Amino acid sequence: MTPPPQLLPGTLYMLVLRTLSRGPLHGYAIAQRIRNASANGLEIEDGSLYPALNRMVVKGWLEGEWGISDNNRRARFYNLTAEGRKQLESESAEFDQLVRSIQLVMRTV
Amino acid sequence: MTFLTEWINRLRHFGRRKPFDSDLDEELRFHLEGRAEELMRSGLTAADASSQARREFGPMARAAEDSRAAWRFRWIEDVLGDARYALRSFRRSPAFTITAVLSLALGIGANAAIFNAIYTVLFKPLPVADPARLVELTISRPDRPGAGEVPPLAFVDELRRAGIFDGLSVMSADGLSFTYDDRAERILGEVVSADYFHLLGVRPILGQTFSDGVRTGHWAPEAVLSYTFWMRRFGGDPRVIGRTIHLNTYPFTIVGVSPAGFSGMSFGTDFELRIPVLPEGRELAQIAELGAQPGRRFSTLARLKPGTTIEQMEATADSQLQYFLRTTSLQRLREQGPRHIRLTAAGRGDNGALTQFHAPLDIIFVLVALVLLVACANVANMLFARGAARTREFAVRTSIGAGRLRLIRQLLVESLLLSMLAGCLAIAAGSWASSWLVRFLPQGHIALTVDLHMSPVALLFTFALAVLSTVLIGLAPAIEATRGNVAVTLKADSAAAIGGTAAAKFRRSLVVAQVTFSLVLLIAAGIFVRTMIDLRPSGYGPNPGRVLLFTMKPQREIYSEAQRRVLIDEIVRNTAQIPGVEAAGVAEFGPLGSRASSDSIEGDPGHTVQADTDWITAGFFEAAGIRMIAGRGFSPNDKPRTPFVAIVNESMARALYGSRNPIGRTLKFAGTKLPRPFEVIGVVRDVRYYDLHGEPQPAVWFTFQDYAAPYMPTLFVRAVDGETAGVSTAVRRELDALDKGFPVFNIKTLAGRVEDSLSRERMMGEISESIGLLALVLAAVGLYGLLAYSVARRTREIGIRMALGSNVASVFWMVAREALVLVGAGGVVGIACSIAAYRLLSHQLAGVSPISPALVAGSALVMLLVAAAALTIPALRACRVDPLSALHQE
Repeated sequence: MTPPPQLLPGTLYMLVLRTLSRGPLHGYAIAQRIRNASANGLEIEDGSLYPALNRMVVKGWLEGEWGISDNNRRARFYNLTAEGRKQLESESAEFDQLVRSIQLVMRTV
Repeated sequence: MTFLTEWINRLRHFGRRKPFDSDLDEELRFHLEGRAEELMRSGLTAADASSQARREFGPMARAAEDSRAAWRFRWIEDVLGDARYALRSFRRSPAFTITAVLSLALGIGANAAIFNAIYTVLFKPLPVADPARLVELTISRPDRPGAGEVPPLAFVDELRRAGIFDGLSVMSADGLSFTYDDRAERILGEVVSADYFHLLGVRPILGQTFSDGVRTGHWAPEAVLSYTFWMRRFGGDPRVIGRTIHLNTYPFTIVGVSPAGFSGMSFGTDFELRIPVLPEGRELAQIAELGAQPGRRFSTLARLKPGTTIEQMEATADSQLQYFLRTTSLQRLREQGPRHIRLTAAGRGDNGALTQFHAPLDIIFVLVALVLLVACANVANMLFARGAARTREFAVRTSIGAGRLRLIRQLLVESLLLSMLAGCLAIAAGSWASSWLVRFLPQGHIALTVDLHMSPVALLFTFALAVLSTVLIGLAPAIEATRGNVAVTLKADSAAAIGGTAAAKFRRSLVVAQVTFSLVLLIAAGIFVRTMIDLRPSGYGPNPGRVLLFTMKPQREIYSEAQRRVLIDEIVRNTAQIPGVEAAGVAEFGPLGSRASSDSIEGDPGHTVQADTDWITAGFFEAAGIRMIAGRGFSPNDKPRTPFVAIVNESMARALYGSRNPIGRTLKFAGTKLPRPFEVIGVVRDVRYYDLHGEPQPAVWFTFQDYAAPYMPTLFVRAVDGETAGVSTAVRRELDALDKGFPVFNIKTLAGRVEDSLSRERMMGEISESIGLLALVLAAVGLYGLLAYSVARRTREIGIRMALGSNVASVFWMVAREALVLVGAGGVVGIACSIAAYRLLSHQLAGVSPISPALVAGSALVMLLVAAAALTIPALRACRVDPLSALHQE
């Protein structure tokens, strides 16, 4: 359950959930999106993505289904479940609150 | 909720692990190749792109392994691994394993058996459909609160017609003369309503219950056998259905067999068969019990309609009763004064015959709980020693990365495994102990039975005890064993580093606790055995084992009063002439049986004494061994239509006449029962006659005069030494020759009767004896284990002492002193606890013997001797330590 130390603990789940909120993607595409969206600012070992995905499937936040990728190959697509959407909302709300509080402290003190 | 989803998802995954693995492979490969292609598009060479993709990805194997792990029940798999490891280590140390498992198994098994007995006797619901809706109907009278009478049949029929209950049944029990294959046998039959079995929802295991004809009012002589009677009398033969049996000479047809474990509403008594009561108003000459006279009273059971409460239905039934009492044609009921109906929950049945065992069982429960604690202390002690010996192993494992919790978990799994093994054995031990318990049930004119097979609830209890034992034996040793500082333990001389002082203190206090509990149990055993001995009566002549008892039941429907009196006289006369018979006589009740009689007797006018009463023939006192001390006994000439005579015991003579000579004085029944006076013709010695508990009561004996006929009399035959078996057969033959038509049953010796009337005390005595012994052995093993371990640990120290000139005696004393201090401490606490517990609990049990200094001292001495035996072996081993080799160690 240990995400790469470069990331705040637990945030990998949130990033993946957020990435999937606009539709199903396969694992590689998720990694790509996160890389591009963060402008390479986050150092995530690609390999750590898969245990996280599996854990989230076990928790019932995601569903995995095999389909055909853009380059016509078999790939597993992950899809957000209702449970996962709820999880995303609560996690991002918590995260925003956390960031706001930290920023407040950093600016005022 | 999420927790549940996770488990379901993991369980689903279980069957598709193979396809999952290849899927995962494909997925990871897809990722790497996709990334490499992307990098190639941005200008890298194929080889560079591939290696960069791999670098970004990180270790492939870990990604795959962690992904798989997400799906696994890691915790369970780890525990299973721990269990396998534990089993391996058990195989390596069989002595430890066997001792630990046996100690726990005996402790848990004893608790399971006693719990099962208490549960069965007090809490187990009847094996009938929906017992919670069953109620018993009684009628109370405002002028005598507390006293209830059973309702008259006419009212029950009225209630039935009103339809306010989901069915009603009357019940009445009596002894019947059962004939099949020519030999009469006395059985207990229950007369019940035709829809009794339907009301209770009890289905027959063979044949049917009462036929539809009988249930719709067309009475037929049908009988439903109980399971035990069917097994005992017919060997479980399924062809009995349709056969004819005779009850009091009236023919009945067997229609079915009720299921095993069903014994009606009265718990502990198993009626041999059930027959339907006659329709309202009819009677049967041969079986008075079947009669359905409207005014006759019956125990009555009703089933509440669903959704109604006892209170509601009590009110409804009561208004019904008031109407009935105003309008009934039975004049006596109309004029008897105010009455009210009372409904009481009957789902538990009536366990009156077994309640006397409640208090003893509770106390035994406390005793066996103590044994379990002693056993747990024992095993905990062994685990401490084991843990200390394995400190190195744990240190090594810690240094290669095993967390402390991981080690504690592993040790707890070991303890759990020990407890579970013990639990399995405990179920066997408990079943055996239960069958032992059943044998303590006293068997009088009504046979008591109770099904003490381990119930599911008891099995659950056993399991719970095993889990509790796991914590008791395992937690402290596990925490202690894993405390070790890695660096220190690995570096230092292991023999010196193991066993911190805190742990040593804890282990010593465990032994003190063991000694304490064992001594408490020993003293308790002493008290209960003493009680058993104190209550065993004297005054029944030498060797009550030679007095044979035959109970007879000449049915009143078949034998008139005069016939019964003649029959009894003839039996006594013929029996007395059998070779090997010293004396023979009959008593209606006789001493120490399951029936008794008491009357208010008046000597001087106005001066009454409550006394035990009995009706006997000539020869009874000689046969029972009760000594005459004045006057004469009854003779065959004291028969009907001669002067009324009576014999009293010393207490009665004193109570009635003080110091005056009782011979020739008169007494009579107080009140109007029988106004004629009896002349006192003899005095016998005081003996405890009906009740063994307490002092002998005043007692009077009468003959079967024309106002009193034998009902269920017992023949007492005193045989000469060594002739008991022969005399028994000869008496049976004599009774058969006289008349095969009346049953003879409950054949035993007077000594057997004594044992039956002491069943409670015997149960307490014998069980506490075994428990005390068990605790003693366990404490000895515990003490031995502690000392053996401590001697092994101090080998070096002992070696040095010897090298410096200590002699063997002082080494022996050094070890012995350690043990004796513990035993002394435990002994003092144990004695104090025993005295306190006795003060607290002795009032729970009537007639329990006092806790005497001799008994306490004796128990302490036994404890000390056993402790001495346990400490000798390790102490001698200490004496044999060779200084040279001890010093060369490590």
